[in-house]
Amino acid sequence: MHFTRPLITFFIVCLIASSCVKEEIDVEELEYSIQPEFGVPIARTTLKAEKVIENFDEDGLIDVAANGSLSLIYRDSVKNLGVEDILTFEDQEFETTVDLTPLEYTQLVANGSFTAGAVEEFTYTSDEGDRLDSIRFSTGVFSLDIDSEGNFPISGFVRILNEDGTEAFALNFQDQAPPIQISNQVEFTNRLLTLRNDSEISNGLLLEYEVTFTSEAGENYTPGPVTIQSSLTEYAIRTVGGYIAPRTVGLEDLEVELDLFKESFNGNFRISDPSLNLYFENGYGLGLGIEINELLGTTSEGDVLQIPGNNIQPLPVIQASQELGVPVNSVISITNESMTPTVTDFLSFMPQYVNSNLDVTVNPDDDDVTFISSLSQLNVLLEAEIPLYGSISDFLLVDTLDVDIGDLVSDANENDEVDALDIRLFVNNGFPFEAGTQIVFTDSLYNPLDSLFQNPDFVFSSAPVNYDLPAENPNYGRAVGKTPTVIDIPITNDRISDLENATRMIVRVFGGTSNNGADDIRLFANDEMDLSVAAKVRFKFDDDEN
Amino acid sequence: MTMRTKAGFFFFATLFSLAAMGQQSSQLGYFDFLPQSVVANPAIKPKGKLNIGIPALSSIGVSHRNNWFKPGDFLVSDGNGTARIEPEQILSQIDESAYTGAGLDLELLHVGFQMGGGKHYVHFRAAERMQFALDLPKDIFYLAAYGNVGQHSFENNTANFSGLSVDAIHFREYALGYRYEINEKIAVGATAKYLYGMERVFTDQSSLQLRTDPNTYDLQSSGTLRLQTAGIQGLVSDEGEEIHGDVANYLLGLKNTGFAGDLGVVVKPIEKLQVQVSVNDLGFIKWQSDAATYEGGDASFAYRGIDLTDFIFETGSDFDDALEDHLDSLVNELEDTYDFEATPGAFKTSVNGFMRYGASYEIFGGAKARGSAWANVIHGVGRSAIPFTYSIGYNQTFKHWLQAGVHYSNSSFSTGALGAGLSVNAGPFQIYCLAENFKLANLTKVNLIDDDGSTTSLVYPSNSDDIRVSFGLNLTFGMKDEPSGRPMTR
Repeated sequence: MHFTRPLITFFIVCLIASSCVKEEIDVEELEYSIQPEFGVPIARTTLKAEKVIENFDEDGLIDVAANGSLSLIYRDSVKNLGVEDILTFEDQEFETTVDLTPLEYTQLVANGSFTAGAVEEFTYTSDEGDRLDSIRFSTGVFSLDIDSEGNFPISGFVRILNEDGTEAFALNFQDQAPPIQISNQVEFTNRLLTLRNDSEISNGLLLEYEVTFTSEAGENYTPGPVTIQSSLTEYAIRTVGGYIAPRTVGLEDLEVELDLFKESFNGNFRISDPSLNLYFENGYGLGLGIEINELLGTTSEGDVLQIPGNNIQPLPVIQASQELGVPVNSVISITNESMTPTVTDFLSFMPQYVNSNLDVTVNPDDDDVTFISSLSQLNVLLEAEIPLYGSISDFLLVDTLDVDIGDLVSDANENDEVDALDIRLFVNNGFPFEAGTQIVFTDSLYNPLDSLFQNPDFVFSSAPVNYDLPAENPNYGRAVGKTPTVIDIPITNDRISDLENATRMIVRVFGGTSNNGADDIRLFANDEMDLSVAAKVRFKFDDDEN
Repeated sequence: MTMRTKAGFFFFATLFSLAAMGQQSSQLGYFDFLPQSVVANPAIKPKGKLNIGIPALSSIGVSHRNNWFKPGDFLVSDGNGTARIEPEQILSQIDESAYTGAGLDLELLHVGFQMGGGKHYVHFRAAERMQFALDLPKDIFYLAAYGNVGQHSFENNTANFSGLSVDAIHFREYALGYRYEINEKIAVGATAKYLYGMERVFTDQSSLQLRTDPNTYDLQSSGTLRLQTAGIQGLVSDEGEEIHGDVANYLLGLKNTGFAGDLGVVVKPIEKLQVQVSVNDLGFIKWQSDAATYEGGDASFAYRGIDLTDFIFETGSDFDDALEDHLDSLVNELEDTYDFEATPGAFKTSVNGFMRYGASYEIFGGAKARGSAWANVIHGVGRSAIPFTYSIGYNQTFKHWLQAGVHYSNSSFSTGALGAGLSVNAGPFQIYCLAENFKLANLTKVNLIDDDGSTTSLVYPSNSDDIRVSFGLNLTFGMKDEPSGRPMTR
């Protein structure tokens, strides 16, 4: 059989049928458009409550309790009350006169000298009624002024004696030539003076003097009394022992600044269990009574709230130190129960400054045996303790910032490939509060150009809060778990172009604690919020010759 | 049309116009006019008693494959000169990965001759063989077209690049074959090959992935990529051994040696039936010259954005310094993670071995012509890239000067198609052409018309999932016509 010819023919037909260009496409204009969307994370952070508070309020101390709950502590600088504030002894002067009788003058002339002397008792003056057993002076000046109306030369000494007759202070004197006037003084340090206190005298001290008159034959002398003035001046008391009479000393301008309220904001702020604490470090050997005259709260805008002292319950007596050099520490807390209005209400006023004036009553119990030393003092500190337990509702903070995004707009307009940009905010909120924001861009005349959100909404919702426990339980109001929120903010080229004339940005932040402050929440150190910012860029690649 | 558009088009067209993968032709074993038929099965006896291939022209085999780029499909024309590239059309063509390959077999020398009255046949050949293949996982295309958070949802939010691979080889093959006819029914053959490797790129491990968190867009990469190369490091860095500078050393002096072999048997159980079985290209090459392994290590890296936790409350220069330190640390971590380091060292790879099973049945035979129907199955061996292919065809022989055939082939990664072959002998001069399919003839012509009216035309097969053509020139001597009828008896 001859299949050759048919076979070849078939083969050629196959080739012809299957060969050559089957399809021809003329392309004058090639269109293509792909719009891939790429998402990439930009930044993230985990905000822990303790660190947020620390940053928000750099001047406040953060106290973390054993269970992790947070409190803000604001403290004043220490005020102190020294010995000079409590004991106000004046300069002491003792005066006596030596006047010879005619017979004594006769003996003087006959013998050529005559010595007169005595020991007199004086009182160390205390206006407050102190009855002191001893005074140790750290420094001082013992002065002697002698003035003779006669012209007999004199010499002698003056001494102040302790109760036991030992010498405390002494000065000698002499003047041979008329007029007979002597001024003498000596500085002393660390000198003890004991005083006598009994039914006859208080703060009694002995002054001993001796004056020796001399005469020479043939001289013409005029007799006259000799006045002796001795004084203790410019002295500083180191210790005082005995009965120190009660007295009241003012301690003013105790002030503490609450940075929490440095910026004013709208909203209702309520701290459930705050306290104002007074810390005392008493180095004196006597108790101290404390009375608050008034409490003042001043907001950052100058509004003042005054709490009179009689709205505050009486405060306990501060204990006395039992040993010199060993002070006793005491704390007096003013809580909601001890003040009307309550401390909560007081802080709801949002005072930036809290001032207090105190009256300190020394030895309020009228103890007989007390001591005060210059080495001791009373230190007082005013503190505001604000546990982060309470509620905030209708919080609103508005701020206006200047912006200049001209470069951004230019860059965006030059970039043809980027079709849209979405910013994604992912919040995993473990804080028991919710917040939202709105940003409005305006021109220089405050005409609004664009806003971040069409309708302002919560950026993050509150974490779930444990309200199943009794209110007294320290974990009541604690955030348990986290609430995730995803927010996409579309930013198209059109939106960016609209911002070309934007010069201002009005930022509104609003929110409050869980359920807009309907219930109290408690903030703990390990409460945290995870924030992630990512971007989704939509590119547009096409055959655009323009 | 913009220059950028044209350039893009040219790039893809050039990439895909490389010729030929030296994959075995399905029909070669049934063209016994061709001395190259021993390549299909070393037990086949070519018709010529003495066969000499024209040097460098005796066998030029070209192939090209790509399973996704079909201009007619993804260029949608409105008939008015506007054509639109549709990404979805491209993606619909891709199964799990986009494969692009090319190959070239260039026979440098071929000599074969019969001995012992035809019982023995010896042949020697040398050929230059080049193959290239690039596998791009489909997710790469999805990523480019839609991005990681676009309309396409990746499985488990993860773009899987684990099929990404590059496979390229260039070697020279020196083959010495011998066929022995045991009897009229059975013949066996073997070919020993010495392989001289020149370049190699082999993807040993590929498991890269990129996960994007759907909420936060956090990125997590993982996996590893490991490439073994020879003859490449010297081109791309100063650390490698530059083997291409010295031509003589490059052509003859490299230390990349290997061996391979073919074994075959041809059996005629009955008179008109012939069964061929062979195993081909079983072998390896040990790469030592400029050999290096590029490995990225464990590419586990999570990028969740710049972590501002430690310094978010700093201001001014403190914040700037802290941010800069953090960014430096991030860059260092990135460099350490994705540091694609080259480790010099020899390695061994196998060549693409395959098994071939065929049978032909002589439908008619005469003094002047013979016709045979045949069937053929090929599949790869081990890690071979040779796909499973089956073919059925018909060959017609006319005396000793023409042998032609048509067949139908289908393989595991291409659509079925008709193919044909033709061998023509004019005296000792032989010319042939074997086309595995007519896909090469089915072309799409894209005319790119500029604004000034000038036209640039690009021609590309409409369906290039399996383009294979081989052709060549030989000198054959001593081809005899088959005797006709019964032997005359006196």
